[in-house]
Amino acid sequence: MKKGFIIAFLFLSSVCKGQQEIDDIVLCCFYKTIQTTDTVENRFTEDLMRLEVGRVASSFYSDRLALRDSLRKERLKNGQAGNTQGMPKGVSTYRVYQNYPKGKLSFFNSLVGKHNNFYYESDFVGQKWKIGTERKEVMGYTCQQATCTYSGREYIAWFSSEIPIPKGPHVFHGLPGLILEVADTKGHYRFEAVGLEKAGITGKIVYKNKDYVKIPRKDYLKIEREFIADPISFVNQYSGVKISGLSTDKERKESGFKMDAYLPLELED
Amino acid sequence: MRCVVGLICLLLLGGNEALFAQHYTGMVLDKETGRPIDAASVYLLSADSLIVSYTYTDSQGRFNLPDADASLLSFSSLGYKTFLVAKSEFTNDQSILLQPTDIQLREVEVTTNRLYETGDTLIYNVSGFKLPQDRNIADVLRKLPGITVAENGQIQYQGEAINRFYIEGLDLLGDKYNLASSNLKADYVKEIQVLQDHQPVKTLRGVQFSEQAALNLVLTEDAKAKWLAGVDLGLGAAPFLWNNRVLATVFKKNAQNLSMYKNDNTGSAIASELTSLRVEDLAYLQLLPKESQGVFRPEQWNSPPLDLHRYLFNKSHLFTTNQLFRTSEESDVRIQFSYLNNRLENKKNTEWNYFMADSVLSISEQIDEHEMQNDLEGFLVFTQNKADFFLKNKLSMRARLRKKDRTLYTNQNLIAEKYKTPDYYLRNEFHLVKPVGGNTWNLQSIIQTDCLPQHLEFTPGLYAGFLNLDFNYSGLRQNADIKEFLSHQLLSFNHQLKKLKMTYEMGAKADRRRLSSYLSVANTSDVDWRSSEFANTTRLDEYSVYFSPQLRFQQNKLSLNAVLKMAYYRFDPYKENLFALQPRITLTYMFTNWWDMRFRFSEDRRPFSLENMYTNYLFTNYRKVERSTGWFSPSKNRDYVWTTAYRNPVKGYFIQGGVTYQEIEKNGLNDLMYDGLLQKKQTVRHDYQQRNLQAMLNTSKSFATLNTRLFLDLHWMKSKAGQLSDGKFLRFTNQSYTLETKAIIQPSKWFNAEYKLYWSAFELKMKDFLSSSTNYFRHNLSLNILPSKAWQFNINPVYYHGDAGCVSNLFVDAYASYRWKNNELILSASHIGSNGTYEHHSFNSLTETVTSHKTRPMQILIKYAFNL
Repeated sequence: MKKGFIIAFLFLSSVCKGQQEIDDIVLCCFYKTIQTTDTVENRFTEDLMRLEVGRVASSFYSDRLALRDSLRKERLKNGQAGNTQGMPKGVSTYRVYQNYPKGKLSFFNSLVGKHNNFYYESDFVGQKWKIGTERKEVMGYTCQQATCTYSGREYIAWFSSEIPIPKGPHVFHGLPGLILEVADTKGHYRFEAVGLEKAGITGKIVYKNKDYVKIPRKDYLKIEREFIADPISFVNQYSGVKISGLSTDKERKESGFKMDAYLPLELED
Repeated sequence: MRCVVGLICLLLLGGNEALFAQHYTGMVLDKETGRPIDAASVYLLSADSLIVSYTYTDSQGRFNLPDADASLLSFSSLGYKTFLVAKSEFTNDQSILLQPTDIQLREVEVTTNRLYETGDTLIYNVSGFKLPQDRNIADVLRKLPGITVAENGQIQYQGEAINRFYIEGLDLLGDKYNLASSNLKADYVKEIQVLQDHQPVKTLRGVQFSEQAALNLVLTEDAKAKWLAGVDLGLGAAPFLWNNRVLATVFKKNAQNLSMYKNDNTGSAIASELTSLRVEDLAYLQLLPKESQGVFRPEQWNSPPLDLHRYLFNKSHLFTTNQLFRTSEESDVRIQFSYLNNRLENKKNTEWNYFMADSVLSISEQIDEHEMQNDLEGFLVFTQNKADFFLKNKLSMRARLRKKDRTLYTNQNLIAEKYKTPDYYLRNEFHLVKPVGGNTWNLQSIIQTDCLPQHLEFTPGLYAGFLNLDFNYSGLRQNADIKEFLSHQLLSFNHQLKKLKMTYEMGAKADRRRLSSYLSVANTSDVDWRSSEFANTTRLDEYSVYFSPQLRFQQNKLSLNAVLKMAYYRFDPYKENLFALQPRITLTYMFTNWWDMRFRFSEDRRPFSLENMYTNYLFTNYRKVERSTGWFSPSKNRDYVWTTAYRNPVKGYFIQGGVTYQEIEKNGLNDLMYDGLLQKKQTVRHDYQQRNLQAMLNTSKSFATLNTRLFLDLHWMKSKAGQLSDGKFLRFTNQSYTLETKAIIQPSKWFNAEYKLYWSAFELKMKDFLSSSTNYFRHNLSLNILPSKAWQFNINPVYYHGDAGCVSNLFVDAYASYRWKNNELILSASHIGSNGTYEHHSFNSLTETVTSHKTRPMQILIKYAFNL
């Protein structure tokens, strides 16, 4: 009973703090990610993501955004205000924890402003991969091809059994080696490993849920879709900022807003 | 029975294959500790080292791998040596022991540039947001998420005014950016960049946080580096109408220019394009002196709740030229000049009821008003913006020559009133920022001089008794000259104390104001009006020094911002001293990400204005005369504001509510006395407290059906105030209610509609004597039909109705537009159904009015726009 209380207390205090170390980092893999935002004019955003692989869990987030946060904190510590001018710019605001909590996948994202920070947890079940026979080299590692269909998109992945970890970027995992490259067949999303380092002894995976509201995955996907389809009315509705202007999804599409291309990675519930 | 046996046999046979298919099972353990290894890879390798089947171990180290066409079984996990075994040598339920080893990985250095993009820039592609009906860039801005364009043209990003409006990275227009946003064609702009948290002063970047964003327009290749001209020609009836514009622009790397001539007599308020919009932060704006309004008040009434273009009879010409030269990479010179010639006409009839202790004074006025405005304005700005040094000097000048002639029938008596209210000012603003040691020092200086030599004339001669004349005279002229000189110097620096962010400000201000007023009355050359009780020579010199520490603190869900301004004032020649503490505290608490609450308290001491200081009579219009006792009566205002907001994106609604309580304490009050038509206002010593309570609620909800959005805003206010009437203190209560609701539906690309309802009610109560109220409605419907990219149709009916007895109005505006290449032809009809007058019933303190305004008749305009 007493132990239960202590555990409950530890749990609560860590929750209140909103930040906890959940695993030792074994290795770090960096991915260049490309997300197409406009297929007609071929516009895309690019970011550098970091996959921290632990003994049990892993975390995946924008390295640029993290670097920017730490620079900001550094400036604050030095008595400077939190100005972000001249700092690196990360565009990917999401963070994925694989196998944390145990047996779960946690997906965090902040859509617009502080009020739209959400996360969901889903079962940590690997994609149903089909192993192929093709091989290629990524960063000098021999990789083998695997394919899967996940949440409405088809993906081609390249994993290396030389790095025997069943993890990968974003939500992808479950191959007998680290996924070094994965892209959907339409070319809207692409993750490509560009760096690999062994972590020092002190590296820890940090789980942060402060200021995030937990919602079911289907609610999250609904909100994300709503945000991407019509950011104007999204901001209108949920931030109290009034914006005039009319546009339907269809109208926006036809007047040049390429919402068919700018779709979330996860298309289906 | 036979069937059942057969089925069982079939099932057994079918299951046989699965039953006897080869599965490899076992456990993978750490060789040194004997502990199971979680998530170790177990796979089958073909002869050419391809993985053909795989699995990985569970937390107990167990695995179960189906057989496939392969020769080797492989067991691997990071930090262990890979173990290979031939299929034939593996026996099920065997434990595989893996030898721990150092992680053998070839590290790969990241070569991608981590500094991908600098700053917090949001880039909007104009072609993605522009709709066919959008003409100028402000139309597009209205559609961008997070951006609002207010009625006066001010652009806000996430509720906060922008602090710079750049075109191709250069600040050509300063606070006159409305000239560009209202006139620059959306087709010229490729991208709109929102520079979030933009600190325009380079040396303050990383030192002083800015919550304001800046906008930068990136032009299309066609619009860059060459002169562009656009011409709009518009003609119509009735009467003869014109609306024309010639715009010329050039945006080069080292020089930019925007010049324009515009004219109009269709009722559009083109003068508002010259409005100075806020670009500096609020703290800086507080340093700027309040614009002196002069003493004359020809009209003391708020404008009616009717769109200005329905009752504005104007003949306006506007010319502006704005030039910027870059003198080096980090410095530029900007010259701006504008001239406005505006003739305005206004016709209205007003019934006034002034409530007194036990009676009501009624006055009726028929007013025919002609106003002439000749406004000249110019700026010369030099800016040097380096990483370690910032200097800006802005010299502004303005001359406004304004005249207003009014012909009135007041209670059937003809009165002619003429105002001549020129005003001139010259202002220099200097700003220097220099980092010294660890601190950044900020020096700001404002010097301004104003001059308002104004006068009022009216005929025939009125109030002979009041003026101590025992004969009738033909007319009166009231002169009032105001001169002001202001100097304000401010030094500030920031530093941080652990979690507290501190800012200290020190300032010194000298404000010297002079008012001299006198009367001249026709046929009274023998009276020395300059030394009578109708002449004032008032001087008020205010000197103040202040120190204002500001503290900001934030932890978890709580944030605090507190300022305590300590100011010492000295007023000469009255030898009055005042020490004032002006605190302001804001507390914000976020319960959850969706629910927050904010509380603000502030106390403010408002010292005196020159207008309260003259002790002899001064006519402010033909039937109002004022004087003060010359006593100092600083007022004390206390505000308590509580707001809370909840937003739920899952359910799709937003709700915000708040309550404000305000206390105003004064020891001087206006006493109103009526002598026939003449209202005499005198400030007298009287302890007085006014209390206002208001509550508001804003909510919105979206529905997927027909892409509908609904908005509802409610506002209620109750005010307990008082006024002196002929020495008697009258207490009264005002209550007002407003309701605004809006529905937008967008069922398809070619059709969208918006309906707005606005209702406002007001109630005035005075115990045992008076209880009166008024209300009005406005319904607004807008229908847009866009059958193709070339054609557009819009119809916009507006219906106003108010109290019983007031005339209702219906106005319908409609237009059709056709576009081809760089040309556009617009045919518009406005004010269809106008009956020529609009009636409005309203209250202000203890005054009631019913006004009927002359409105514009139906008009038709044909407009052709093209680019050269």
